[in-house]
Amino acid sequence: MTIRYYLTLFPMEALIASELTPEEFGSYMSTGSTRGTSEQLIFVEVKGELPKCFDLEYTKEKCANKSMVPGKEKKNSVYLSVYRTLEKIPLESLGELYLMTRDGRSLALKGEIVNGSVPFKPFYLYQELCPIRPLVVSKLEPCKFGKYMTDASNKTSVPKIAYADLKVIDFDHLDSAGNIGDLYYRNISHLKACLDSIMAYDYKKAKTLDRSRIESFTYQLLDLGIFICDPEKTLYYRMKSPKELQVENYAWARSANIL
Amino acid sequence: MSAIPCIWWLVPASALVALVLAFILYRLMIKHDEGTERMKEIAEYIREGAMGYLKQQYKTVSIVFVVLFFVFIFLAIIGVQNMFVPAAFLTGGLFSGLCGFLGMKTATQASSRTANGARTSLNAGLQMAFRSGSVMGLIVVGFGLLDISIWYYVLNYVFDHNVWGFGAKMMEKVGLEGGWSAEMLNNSMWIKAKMVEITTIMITFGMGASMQALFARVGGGIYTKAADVGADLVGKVEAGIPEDDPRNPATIADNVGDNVGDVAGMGADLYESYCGSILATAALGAALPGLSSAQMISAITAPMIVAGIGILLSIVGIFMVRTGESATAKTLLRSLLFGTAGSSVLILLALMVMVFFGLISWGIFGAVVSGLVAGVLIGQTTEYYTSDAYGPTQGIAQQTRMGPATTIIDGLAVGMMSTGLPVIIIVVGILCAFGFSGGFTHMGNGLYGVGFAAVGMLSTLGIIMATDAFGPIADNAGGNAEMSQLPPEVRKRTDELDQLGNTTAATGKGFAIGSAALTAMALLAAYLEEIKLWVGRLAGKSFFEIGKTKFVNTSEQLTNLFTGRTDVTLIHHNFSDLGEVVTKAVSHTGDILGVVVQHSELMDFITAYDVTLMNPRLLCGLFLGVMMCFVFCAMTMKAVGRAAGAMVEEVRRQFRSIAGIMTGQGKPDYQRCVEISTAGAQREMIIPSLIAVIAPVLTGLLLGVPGVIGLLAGGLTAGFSLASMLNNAGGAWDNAKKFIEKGHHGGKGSEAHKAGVIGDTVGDPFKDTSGPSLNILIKLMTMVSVVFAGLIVKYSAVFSSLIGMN
Repeated sequence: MTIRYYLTLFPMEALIASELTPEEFGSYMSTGSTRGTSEQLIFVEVKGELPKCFDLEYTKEKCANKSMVPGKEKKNSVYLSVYRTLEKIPLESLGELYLMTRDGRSLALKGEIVNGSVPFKPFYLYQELCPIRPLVVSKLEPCKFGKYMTDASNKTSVPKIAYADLKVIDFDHLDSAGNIGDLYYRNISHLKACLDSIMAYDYKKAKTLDRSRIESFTYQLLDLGIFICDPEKTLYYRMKSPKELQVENYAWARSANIL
Repeated sequence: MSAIPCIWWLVPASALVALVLAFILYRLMIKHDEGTERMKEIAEYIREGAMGYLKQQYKTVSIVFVVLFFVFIFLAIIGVQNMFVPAAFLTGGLFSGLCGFLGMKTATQASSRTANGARTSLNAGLQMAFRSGSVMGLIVVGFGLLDISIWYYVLNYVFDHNVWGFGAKMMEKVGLEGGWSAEMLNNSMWIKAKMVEITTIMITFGMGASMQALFARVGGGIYTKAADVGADLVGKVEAGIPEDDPRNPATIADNVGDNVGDVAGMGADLYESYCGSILATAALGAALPGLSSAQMISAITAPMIVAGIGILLSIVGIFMVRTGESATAKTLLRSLLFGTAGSSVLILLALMVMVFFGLISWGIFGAVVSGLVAGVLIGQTTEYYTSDAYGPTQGIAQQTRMGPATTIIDGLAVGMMSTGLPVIIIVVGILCAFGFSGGFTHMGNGLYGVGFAAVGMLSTLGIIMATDAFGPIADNAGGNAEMSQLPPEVRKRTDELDQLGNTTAATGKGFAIGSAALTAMALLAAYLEEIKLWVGRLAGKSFFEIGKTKFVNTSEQLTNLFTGRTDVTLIHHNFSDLGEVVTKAVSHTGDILGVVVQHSELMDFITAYDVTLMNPRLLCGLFLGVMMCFVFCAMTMKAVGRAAGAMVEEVRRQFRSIAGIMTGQGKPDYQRCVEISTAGAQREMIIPSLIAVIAPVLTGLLLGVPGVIGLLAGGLTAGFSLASMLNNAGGAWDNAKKFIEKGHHGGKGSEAHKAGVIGDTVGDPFKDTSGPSLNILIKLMTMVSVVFAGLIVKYSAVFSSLIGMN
């Protein structure tokens, strides 16, 4: 009996124990044991030690009971926490991050602790994933943005945050910008206004673009990748380039509507 | 004098060459490896599904054929049907069915081999797909011309050797006395009457091909769209599974559907047009005025000879399609165009040689040029309205940003607008063909020219069909590559082949509808020739009265009929081979009171039957013809809806009940989806198809010949416009969606894409079921009218009087 622990970041925050491998777990969570659901899911495998606040004995008990049922030897999921979970798990314990498509295909991204330098962009668009989920435009590059969002002196801070850096599109050629979904179309005039606002005032670091429509977040817009920050460190999961996806993860990229 | 000149032997010879070459190409294709075990497995699923569908289809069609066979025998017994028709009806259907079977067999064998070829290079994939498509093209023209050759030879043999007394009966008909002797073979009057009889009998042979084509198109169209809609709505939209993903239970049925609709359906459609155009033109050639018997034989055999030469030049064109190993998609397209254009240019040169040797006139040459140019231009307009490289389709894509409603509105508008140019082109084409061949001097010459325009257009069918069948083979190769998870570079190549296939398919659809319009026009003219034949038969040794006019078979009968009538003038005509004979009797008011059928003209029947717009029978027929097109489309679309509904339920059920289907551990029940599509198609195709047979017969019995002509004219004009609209709207919606998927307006998954998918789903039965089926509806209704002409001529007056329409 091998029990694994997974921290789901999107669409809900939870710590879930399972006897399934990451790919099996992702597929199960996205589509159900038979296809009952169809949902994008982002989760991280927790490889390091878990704090004592999580009841691991309960997990073992549940999994042991399941192994007694003939033909259903593996426990798919045991929920250990569904509230303020990310903040309790140290970044060092986080393993690979998995992007699951609606049809249950997974893309594994490796994480590394980074200190700053990322390609410059005139502005950054962040989809916050966990624990809060607004779409934000900012002039701060990813690591600084993470620091800003976890800085306790900031009135809108959180202890830890996971967010995705999204593609910045040439507004003049929006109609032929590729498979980018609806985000820009839906928000273009508001986005321009927000950009004007953060560029005009030095003190304004970020501005919320959209508070509510997170269900339309798609992997097509992922640019640099996904970041998980606490006040000290930034854990960076680099997104693969289209070329890499074409060669290494063709099936996933098709399911994710990227290819 | 033989009705089979030496050069005619080119016709069966070229048909046999086509069939032998098709066999060789098939054998060469089958020797290639199918690829990996997974590729073989996928290909086997598709083969099983396709053959299972055909088996079921032929079972259903056989029942209809057997019923109609006995109907024809009954009609022959009561004297309103030719005794050859029942057997010929079966051979037409048999050859058409054989084309579908062999074409499907080839296509389903070729797709995995094309995918395997693409593992080596783009060129290897192209060569495999195109050469396999050529098998279909060569089978269609080979069997078509073989069927015509056999019957032409057999019927000539039957008359020339007085088998079952046919030669003697013909003597009686034209008033020749004495017993049967071989001298008749040199009697000009007998030869002419025989040739009219043979060509009008032969035209009825097309009925079997037409019936088979309608079942193939309607059944195939329902099948393919039920599978496609089921696969898309549940697999793609609900479950988020990409196209051609093996986890989707309907994906195999979808791939089978590509073959059923685009290979078997298109093949049967063009087979019917091919045979119909040659037979109608031959019949119109037999009716040309003022020809000697030798000239008449030349006019009859000319369309067959042109078709024979066309086969040989198509083969040349097929071998002109070559590219280097490093070919790109652009060079591939150029290569395909080089082959098709090369064949067309060569056929024109061959026709010039025929003019030089006096086999055809320059006028006919002009008519063929008109047909070819019209076919190419209609193809180009189709390309303009449906390709995402141009404004109309991009405009629909732009409208998807506003939502599904504006997407539908704009798509319908593009479809309707797209009928403008094809209609103008076909009008100009018909007028040019009519005018060049002398129609404005004598209508018969013009109609022969229109028929020849269709023959010219279809003369290169061998290679046109090859490029058409290339499309579904390449599409299936792409599906096989996806399902077998071949490396990305291979899938990129199969995608390029698929795109190439989409371009050639658009041109092919324009070609199919253009040729259908010209063929139906020629058949409409030939219908009057059939009426003429039956009027002569029913007149026998007495006369047959239509309105004020009495039709008789010989000049003597006409003279006897009006002897002593001082108010009647007998009109004489001096024929080069018959001398001066009486042809008509005219009253002092100018009314035609009597006509010798053998010397009659088209206008004599038009006048006698009062085929004018002021005749309410004709006007009502027109309304009915237009109505038929719309009702037929509605029925086929509803059929798709019902069959697709069953498929949607089945795919949902499988997702619910088969554990591990999404992880690939559980295997979908592909066979069940194939069975559902097959059963749906078989169940749904019967009623629309039977209505197409029943409508002309009922209209004829109640409204007579003018009603039938109205029905056919209404069906032809409305059907052509509606088919263009449906094909182009559906194609434009499809490509607008693909345009978005290329990364415009937000691309895949965007709201624009969702609206595009809705437009595409609405357009699916437009372009793949109802639109293409209309091509056949307009031809089948004409063919049914031709076959049942005897019944209508004899009994329409009786039925009309029953409802007080005397």
